Amino acid sequence: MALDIKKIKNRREDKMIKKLNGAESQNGTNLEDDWDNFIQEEGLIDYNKIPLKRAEIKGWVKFAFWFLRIYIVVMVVLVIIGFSRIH
Amino acid sequence: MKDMKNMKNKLDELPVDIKLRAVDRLKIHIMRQKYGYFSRLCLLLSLIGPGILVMIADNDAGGVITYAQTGSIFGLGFFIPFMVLMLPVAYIVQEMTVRLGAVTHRGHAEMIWKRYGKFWGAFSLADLVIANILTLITEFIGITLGMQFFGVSPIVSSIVALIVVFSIQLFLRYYTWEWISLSIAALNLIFVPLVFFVPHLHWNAVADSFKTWHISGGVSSLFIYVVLANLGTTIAPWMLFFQQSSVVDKGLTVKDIRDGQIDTFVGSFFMVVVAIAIVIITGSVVHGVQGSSNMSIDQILHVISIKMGIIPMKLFALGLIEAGLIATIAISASTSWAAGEAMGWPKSINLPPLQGWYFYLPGLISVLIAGSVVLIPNIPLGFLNLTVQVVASIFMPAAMLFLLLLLNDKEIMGNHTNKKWQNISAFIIVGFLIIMNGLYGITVVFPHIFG
Repeated sequence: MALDIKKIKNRREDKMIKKLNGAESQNGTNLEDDWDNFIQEEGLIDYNKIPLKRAEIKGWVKFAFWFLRIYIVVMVVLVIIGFSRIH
Repeated sequence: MKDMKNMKNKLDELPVDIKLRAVDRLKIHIMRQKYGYFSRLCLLLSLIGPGILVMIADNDAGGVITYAQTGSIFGLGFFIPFMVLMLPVAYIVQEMTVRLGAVTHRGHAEMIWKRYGKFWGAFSLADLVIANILTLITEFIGITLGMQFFGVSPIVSSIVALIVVFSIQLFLRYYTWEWISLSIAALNLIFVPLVFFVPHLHWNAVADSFKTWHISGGVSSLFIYVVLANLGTTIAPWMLFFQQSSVVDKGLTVKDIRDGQIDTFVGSFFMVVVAIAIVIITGSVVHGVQGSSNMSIDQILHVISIKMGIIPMKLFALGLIEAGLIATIAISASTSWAAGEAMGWPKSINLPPLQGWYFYLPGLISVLIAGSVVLIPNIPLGFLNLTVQVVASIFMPAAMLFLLLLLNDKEIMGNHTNKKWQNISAFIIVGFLIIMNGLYGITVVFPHIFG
């Protein structure tokens, strides 16, 4: 079973590479030489290894976060009142 | 031959999940080099998926029940044009996740966690996981209830659903997973032909609803609750997380944004068509029957079987089962993706089960909890639905705020930040959500304020 799955996967991989070779010989391009660029452009990278800078919270964004905190507190209070009426 | 070997070696150097994605992207790369309308159509068909899937999964068991009850309470009127309005609402919100995913190659949970810190990251993840588990319970209620109309006991249907979902999530690579999910999703359209089985359907009344926007019984706390419930089923927090992660796992890039937008629009269109079909069916058949303003879904199905016949009723029940199943697949995937993104694990449906078991675990545990809880006798369905609504309504403005902040962040989005009209539309949607939630909150504290 595992062998079959591996065979199918390999077949799909082989089929794709064959198709690529055919397309490249028609167009005169070669992805193999441009592989790193392809990987980069297609985002085929482990993004867990690339750090993402934290956003600066200033201006209207700061105001938005305070609004969000107040909204959450108000909604939680309303929910508590609502649920206490159900029981 | 040598080229083939070299290319194979290059693919083998990639981690297994990325390697499988690379093979899919090679296919897209080859298709891009061909010209003509047919090749363009094939390319579009290869790139669509996340948008249609998220929108159809949004017509989940809870959604089908909500639309059915909306029709039976309010009939043909306000809620038909209201559903049409939901098309741009769903499109505007979900389209943003396509751009965000295609540009950053990171999921929504990861973006919140890394750009806005652990507190908001943990808040979003906890809300999502809680809301997802509760929503999954409603999906299993839909599945078991629908299966009962085919003579299958809840325990058998719950176990079968668990096996199907576990198999789909664990043993398929993204490409196959998406096509099998889309095939299941296609069954959601079953509600559309059912409209033609409605006896003496007044198409004039349907057309008139766009002119009059008539609210049967006027504005009341029940009306506000139903508006909020319909809005809640149109844009739910899990949808933002699901589509962005799905776009990332599929490997869409900035070049594919246009196709992603078409995908989202087509999905929104189908979602609205199905919702309107359900409202028309119950609005014509159930509305006006004694007690129609307070009917459960099995009572609604009973009325449908009396007025439309057994086969349409069974098809409706089948639609309910499908709605629950496709949403279970999508929601559990969104839990797995979000947990993987927050924890910094490899996160892809391409991962083999043994290698990526910790990625699949959160989603599968949540499905297992839902599948078990639903077997508890006399489960308080109303209370559960209310809790789902409440958690989602608290979380949705927060999730939307993060989405808007990220989409206006030039540092990460570059030229793909929101345009002015997109920001204005999104702010109107968030504003409407906050006002409706506020009004609902007030009706909870003062139940008779709107009569």
